[in-house]
Amino acid sequence: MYECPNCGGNLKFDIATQQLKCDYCLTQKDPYEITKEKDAEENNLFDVTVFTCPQCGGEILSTDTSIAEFCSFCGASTILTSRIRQEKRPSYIIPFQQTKAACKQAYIAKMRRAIFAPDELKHEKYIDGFRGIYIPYWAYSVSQKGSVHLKGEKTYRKGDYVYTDHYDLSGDIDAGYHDLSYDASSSFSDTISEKIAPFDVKGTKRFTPSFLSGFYADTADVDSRLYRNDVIRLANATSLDAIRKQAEFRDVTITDKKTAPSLSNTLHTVCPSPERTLYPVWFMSYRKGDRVAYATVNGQTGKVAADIPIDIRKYLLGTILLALPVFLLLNFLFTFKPAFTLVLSLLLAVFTLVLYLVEINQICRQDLRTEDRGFQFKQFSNETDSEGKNHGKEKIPPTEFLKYGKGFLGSLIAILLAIWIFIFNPVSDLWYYGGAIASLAGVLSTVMAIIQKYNVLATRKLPQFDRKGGDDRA
Amino acid sequence: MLKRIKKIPLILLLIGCFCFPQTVHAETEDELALDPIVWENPETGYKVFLEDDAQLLSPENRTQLAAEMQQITAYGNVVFKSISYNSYSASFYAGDFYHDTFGQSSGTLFLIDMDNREIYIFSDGAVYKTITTSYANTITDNVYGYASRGDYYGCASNAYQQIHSLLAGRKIAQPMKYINNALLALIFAALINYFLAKLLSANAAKPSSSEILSAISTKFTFSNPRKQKISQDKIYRPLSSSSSSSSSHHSSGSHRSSGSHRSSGGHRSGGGGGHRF
Repeated sequence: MYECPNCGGNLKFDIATQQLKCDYCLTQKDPYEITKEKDAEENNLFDVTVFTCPQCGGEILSTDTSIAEFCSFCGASTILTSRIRQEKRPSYIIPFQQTKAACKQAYIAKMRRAIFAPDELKHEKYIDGFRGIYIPYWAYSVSQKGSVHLKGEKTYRKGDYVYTDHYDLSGDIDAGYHDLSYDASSSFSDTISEKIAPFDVKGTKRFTPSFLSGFYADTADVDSRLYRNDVIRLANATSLDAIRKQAEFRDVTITDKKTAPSLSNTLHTVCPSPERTLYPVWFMSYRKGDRVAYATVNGQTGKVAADIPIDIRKYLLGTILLALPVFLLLNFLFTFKPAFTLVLSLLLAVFTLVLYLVEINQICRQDLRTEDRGFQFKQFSNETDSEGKNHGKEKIPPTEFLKYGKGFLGSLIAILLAIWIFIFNPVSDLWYYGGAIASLAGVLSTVMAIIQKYNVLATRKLPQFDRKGGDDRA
Repeated sequence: MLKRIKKIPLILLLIGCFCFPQTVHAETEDELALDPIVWENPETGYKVFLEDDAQLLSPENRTQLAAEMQQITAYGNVVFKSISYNSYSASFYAGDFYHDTFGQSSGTLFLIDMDNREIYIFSDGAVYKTITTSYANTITDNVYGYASRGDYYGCASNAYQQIHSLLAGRKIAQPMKYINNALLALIFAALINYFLAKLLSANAAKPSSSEILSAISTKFTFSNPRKQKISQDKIYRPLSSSSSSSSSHHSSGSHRSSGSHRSSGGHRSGGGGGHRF
């Protein structure tokens, strides 16, 4: 807590004025003027209160000591245990620019479009649960300076001959890419951080702990080496592309197909250790059963990313309403014979089955967090290299698909029944109508299963961070 | 008064049948069945043509059916044809028979093809504008059950009644069409709605490299660019003039038209629909 020099009240960071402000006497102070004894910049550490959720083990940090009554990660309403800890001091911070009111407005605007979302997600009480959290990021900088030598060629035709001229291309590069940022928290999913990116790092300020007053912060627990190769690859590709566009080289194709390390040598790419930074995110969790949905708003730009499940009742009502104009359109345009109706039903059943498998694949990936490199790094840090290379794109085993239910059976049975009817080839239309009704039932059951799975996809497993103090039975 | 006028052709037909009893008695019953009934509407010039080669109708049914068919002659020719052998499809036979009998004149034909176990309605000219392929399918869907039960008169009679209703501007029941379309509409709506729900719930896409780069501080200078030619390859590769022409000759070979059958080609009009029984 930062005491008001005027009245002793709690000074909190005020987004509108970008100053520390006392709630009681309205005194305003520059954040850099208010420091605690241990906040001194020469000290690499600063004191924070670490709140740990007894259910999921998620940790959030605060400079306040007031009790935190719910966990942002798993949505549990519980008193979080707290202790004082010394944390490594970030170098920079982007203070919150979007007020909570602006964040709520941005979220409401997004939810206005989401007409199939459950009403609870639009409820004022729920929306009021947004919590300002500073998320740790690694900010990488890359520099490239020196003489560059590349190979190039130009191909052209003269008569019956094709000529290829080979060139040596050279020049002096002086390039820099500063503060390329990657999420440094394993508890903050990469899928969320990517969607609310980018942060405009031109708004970065030197860190001082008082910026955190009134907000929380997540802990940085992902190794800084994890994203280094991504950063170097991006910088190399960008520079190479810029070299290609040089007026002198426009008629030449650069033929260097160098691997990342040798291209880095060619371009003299240097990527020192990244800086610790904190970026502002408004964060809210919606817990339903054993799943949790997150809504996040970029605290600087106001960009929203939210897990939005589909309300089954709204979906069914929408389907019936949509079926009416489709029915009228079909009546106006077509008269299908029963056999053709069955063929169409069969094709739709096949399409639905494929859709189901695609969705299940995504759900598996999300649930296993195979593409969340920060998470994978934490989970498998003993089994993989520092870049988390072994985890991310591997195939999902078929047994995993079956674990996610048997919603595909409806469409599969419909397909088999339709094929059987075509082989049997009865005269009576009733068979075809029966087959089409069975296909409809199969397709609808599979679509319902897809929506249930989509709702699983739109939410997340309750997190288990396996940190000291985490216990989902608590 | 109008009803009386409508009944005149029926009376004329019955008179015609009874006026020449000696010719009927002179033939066997089988031969009687093979005789086509032909009647011409004096007002429109359109004809009734009933030929029951498959002998599916009793003499009474034939007379009664011919009388029912007459009302359609206000709009075009009307044909009933049953066959017990057909080496072609029912649709082809129906079109071919109609054109052989009435040329391109407006009219409709109801065929019972016992060989293919199929009923088929073919129409041409002005009648085809009303009795379209989709209506032909609807009518045959509505009446094929009679043929399945062996009630060929009921099948044809109902078909002609529905044809007449449509030609007279009335509606016919299309329960099967509505059932079909309701089923399909529900399936389509379920899928479309799913994609709509996903679209409306979707988040913004992951930012591109250029968006990421625009949010950070970058600098790039490339000074003293030099390009020095070091070698040259020369490969003999003459331009080929024949490579692209081979594919263009494909289409000039055998053109198959689904409309050209045993007739001498030419334009074939009309159309229809049918149903197995």
